Amino acid sequence: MEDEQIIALYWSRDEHAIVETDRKYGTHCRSIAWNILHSEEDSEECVNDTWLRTWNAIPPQCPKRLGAFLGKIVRNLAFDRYKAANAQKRGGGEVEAVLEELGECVGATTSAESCYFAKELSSAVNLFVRGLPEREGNIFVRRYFFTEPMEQIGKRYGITVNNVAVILSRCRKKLREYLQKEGYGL
Amino acid sequence: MNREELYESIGGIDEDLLERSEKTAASGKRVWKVLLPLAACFGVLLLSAALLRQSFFTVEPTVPTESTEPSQQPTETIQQPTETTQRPTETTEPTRETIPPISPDSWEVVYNDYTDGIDALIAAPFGYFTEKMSQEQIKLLLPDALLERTDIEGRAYYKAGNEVWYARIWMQVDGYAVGVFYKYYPTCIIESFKGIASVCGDVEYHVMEETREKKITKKKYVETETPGVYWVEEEETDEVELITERLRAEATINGVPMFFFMDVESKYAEEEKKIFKEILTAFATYPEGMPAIDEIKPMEPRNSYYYNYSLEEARKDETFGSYLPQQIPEDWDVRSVERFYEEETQTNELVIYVKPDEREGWYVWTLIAGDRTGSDTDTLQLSPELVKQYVERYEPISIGNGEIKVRIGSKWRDYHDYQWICDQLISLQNVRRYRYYEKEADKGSDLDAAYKYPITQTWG
Repeated sequence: MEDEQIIALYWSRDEHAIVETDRKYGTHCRSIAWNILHSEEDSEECVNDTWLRTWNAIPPQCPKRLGAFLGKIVRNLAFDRYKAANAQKRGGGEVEAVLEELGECVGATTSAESCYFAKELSSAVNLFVRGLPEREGNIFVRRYFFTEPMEQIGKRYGITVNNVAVILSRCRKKLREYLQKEGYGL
Repeated sequence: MNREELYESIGGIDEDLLERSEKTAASGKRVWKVLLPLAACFGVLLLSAALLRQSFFTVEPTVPTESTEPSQQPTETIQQPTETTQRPTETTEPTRETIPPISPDSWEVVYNDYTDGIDALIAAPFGYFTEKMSQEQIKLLLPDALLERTDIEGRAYYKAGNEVWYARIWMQVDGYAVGVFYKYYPTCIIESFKGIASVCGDVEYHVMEETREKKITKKKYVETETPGVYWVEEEETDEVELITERLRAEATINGVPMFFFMDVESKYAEEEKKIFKEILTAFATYPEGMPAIDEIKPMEPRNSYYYNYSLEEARKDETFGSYLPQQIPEDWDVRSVERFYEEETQTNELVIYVKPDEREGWYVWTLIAGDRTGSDTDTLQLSPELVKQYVERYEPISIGNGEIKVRIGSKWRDYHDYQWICDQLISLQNVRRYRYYEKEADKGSDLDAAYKYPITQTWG
């Protein structure tokens, strides 16, 4: 079913919207949740929460890209769940590896000011990704948005894992410089 | 700001960028698929070249060395260029003139897109294997100055007769990757360069540059009722930015043609050019006798190999042959059958690329031995009518006794595509259908979900 048709179901408050969403994007969303949580049960709950949140969000919203819209929601929910589960410990897994890599780009402190700038930071990161060459930008997105393992990214783009690592390393270096330049105190 | 906040902020990346990463992934595969027929054509040409060489050299028919590892290695001797197992001393200094006159012009665009695309441009023999080079082997090929660099790794490609075909080394210097190819056999084709920009010692190097219009987007975020979800209003302005795509260089050092390349971009081009030139200088001042590519010998046991099969040859494959369809419908065109094993990545698979009728995209059947999981993707466009025509019910399948899995490549994780291909595969092979996830996996709705559970059913 086309996205427009699914969204129309949401707007008409037809519960088949969720069935069709699950059918079309269930695997996609479970994959994102799995990459972050590495738990079948948690991922499933996270995806179910995503359907609920989507149900509540549409209407009034009318996303142009349903897959990406769902991807954002499930990623946020999964990461919230991850943080709650890891509040007392530092776990392994892909998301921890990703966080470690991102740690190269930032300082270690959290301040009220930084929270205030959260939305602006998101905008800045977005502009940064847009400024990257397309392939690097895509690899950055696959790694740091979708939390995909490097092996999977390498296979996706037909390049070696080593090459992926180098490209990501270069991206992080640029991101750090960019964030410093933009005034996000590191 | 801490790393968690940064990770969360990345969650706000625009949806078009997320979608772009999916689409580009698919097109990347497609480009590679386009290269396959090209590579096959080169293979035929090279076979001709190899046979021609035979008339000049005293040769003994190659008998591929028996391998103890892996046990699944094909026992069939594939049609290969009959290179001698003895180094042909007549070609100690292969020159560009010995390369068959194939114009590389049409490859340029593809080559620019993917660094590893050069693998497809190097015409491989019909059967070869490859292995990661040891540090000792790498030392034979690199100037001492470069050995001090971190993250040097190399891979050697051997013909089936254990002869080195070419070697490739990747160096990561100050975070930048530089690739070096050592071409040993004259029939190993690597792209020629269109122009020479500079000279570094005895090494000529070429800088490709192009300009393109890059739209700079200003964004305004509008909060919605859903936490973490924002609408974006965009304003775009046009700006021309100089994009430098790639640094490339070639040199024949002590008789061995070598190729260097490095991806760069405009902002950091100067820094990268400096590193690139530094490496070229190191090679240009190679001591006499280097590089010792003819001393690169395969390590035992072989840990990877690759064959281009015909479908008939694939049917004789010990591991997978019995699972292949006995008939391919007339409107299905088998374009390529590849057998690949790599111990390092636990890869053991047979991949069949087929293209039904005139439809866009490729279908990929992958038979996988062992426990390797994951997904493979390819582009596929199906009309709803065609889906309806073939889809009776949805049942993920497995073939074999739990050691062979079937991976169907199609549009990225698309429910209907899997279903359709599964039905096709079943009908072609006339095997039974199985629902093998009924209790624990009843949440699953596609093959990926199925992979998460052990497959225990047998069939016969």
